[in-house]
Amino acid sequence: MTATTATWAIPYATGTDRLCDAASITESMARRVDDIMFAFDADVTFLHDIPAARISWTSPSSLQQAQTGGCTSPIGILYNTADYDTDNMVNLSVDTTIITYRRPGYFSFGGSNQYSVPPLTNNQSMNMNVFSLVPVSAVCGQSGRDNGTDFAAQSCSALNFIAAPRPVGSEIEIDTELCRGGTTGAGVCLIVQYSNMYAHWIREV
Amino acid sequence: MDLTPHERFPFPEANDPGNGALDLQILAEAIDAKCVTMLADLRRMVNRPMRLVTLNGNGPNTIIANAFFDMFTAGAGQWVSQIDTTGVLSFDVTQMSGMGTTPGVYRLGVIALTNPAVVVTANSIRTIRLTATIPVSDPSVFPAPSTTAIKRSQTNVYECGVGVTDMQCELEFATAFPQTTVLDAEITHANVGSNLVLLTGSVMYLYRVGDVDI
Repeated sequence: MTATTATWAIPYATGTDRLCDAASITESMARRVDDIMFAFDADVTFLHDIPAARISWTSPSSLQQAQTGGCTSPIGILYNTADYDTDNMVNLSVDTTIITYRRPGYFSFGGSNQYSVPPLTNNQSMNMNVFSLVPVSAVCGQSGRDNGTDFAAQSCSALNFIAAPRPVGSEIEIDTELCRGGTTGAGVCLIVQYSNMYAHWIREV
Repeated sequence: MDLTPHERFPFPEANDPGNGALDLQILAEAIDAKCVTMLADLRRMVNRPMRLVTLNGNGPNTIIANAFFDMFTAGAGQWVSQIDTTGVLSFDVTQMSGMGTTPGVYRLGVIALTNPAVVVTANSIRTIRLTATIPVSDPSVFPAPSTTAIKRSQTNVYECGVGVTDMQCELEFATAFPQTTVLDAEITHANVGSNLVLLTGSVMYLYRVGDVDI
């Protein structure tokens, strides 16, 4: 009577099997191993197709955005280009400010920006945060200082995760904000070429 | 002889001449070959190439003010390889050699410790700029296309009067042509009082994030 292996249930012939059944037993073995290997192929594809996305502001000229007031009301960057997106993590026609995680797991995220908030004030702090929203909050940020003549340029990265599959429309998101420390007040934030935000999946939870 | 639907493993049909031992051998060889290629794929994806070098000893006093300077050159002779899985030992992490030909996402990073050689210029800016110059179409096609995409990240700091500053900058980018993508890690400053020195402990690294389809 045909037996099967303990873990993967691969059929094989035993001493009591009839010789004329050898072909059908071999066929059963081949089909079972085929199913197993086909499932392994899916695992390999899962590892190959890593969710990753990067969005950026690509115009060579400056982007101006109204800032309503200091760090109490920072502005989010309006990105205009998806450099790459392997898992439908970006939809700039709907929201120009975010990357959305769709696969559960640990992610590395970050970004870099170059910007200023006129009037340029000596020793004023200028802050950039790239942060994720619920359910797991994570923030990376850097502060720069303005000497009255230069732009602030900052780069940061960090890790976060989502633990379970989440329906489309309520996934975890990452976002970027810029603000000016010290005096609060309305102004215009100038963002020049170097503005980008990215995220990629690292591993399962 | 027939074949399984997915992996094309051979198995005997009912009307085949009976040779159970040979049938099993052919099937076993096909499974063996499949396992070899699958494990090779898994290892390639898990063991992603990476390279990390540190500056063991201060760099030469050559970084002049108000001009971008190559960071590998700024630490000439002092870079030491700490990690290099590529099989192509390179102290300049901006070289993509050994990273393979498969399209993918990469991350380039720099941690720079700096100090003016002599005179500290108060409140002067120091900047790291990372650049990836990426071909937008196949560079092997004749005539070679000249269009490239520029991806950049940048960090700047102002020294607070003591001279030594440290800063970190990272750039994540995707390229369909790793072997012809050009990376640059550059540093500039406005410390006009004297040249800048890249200090021991500075770090540069590059690794493949994944073999993603772009």
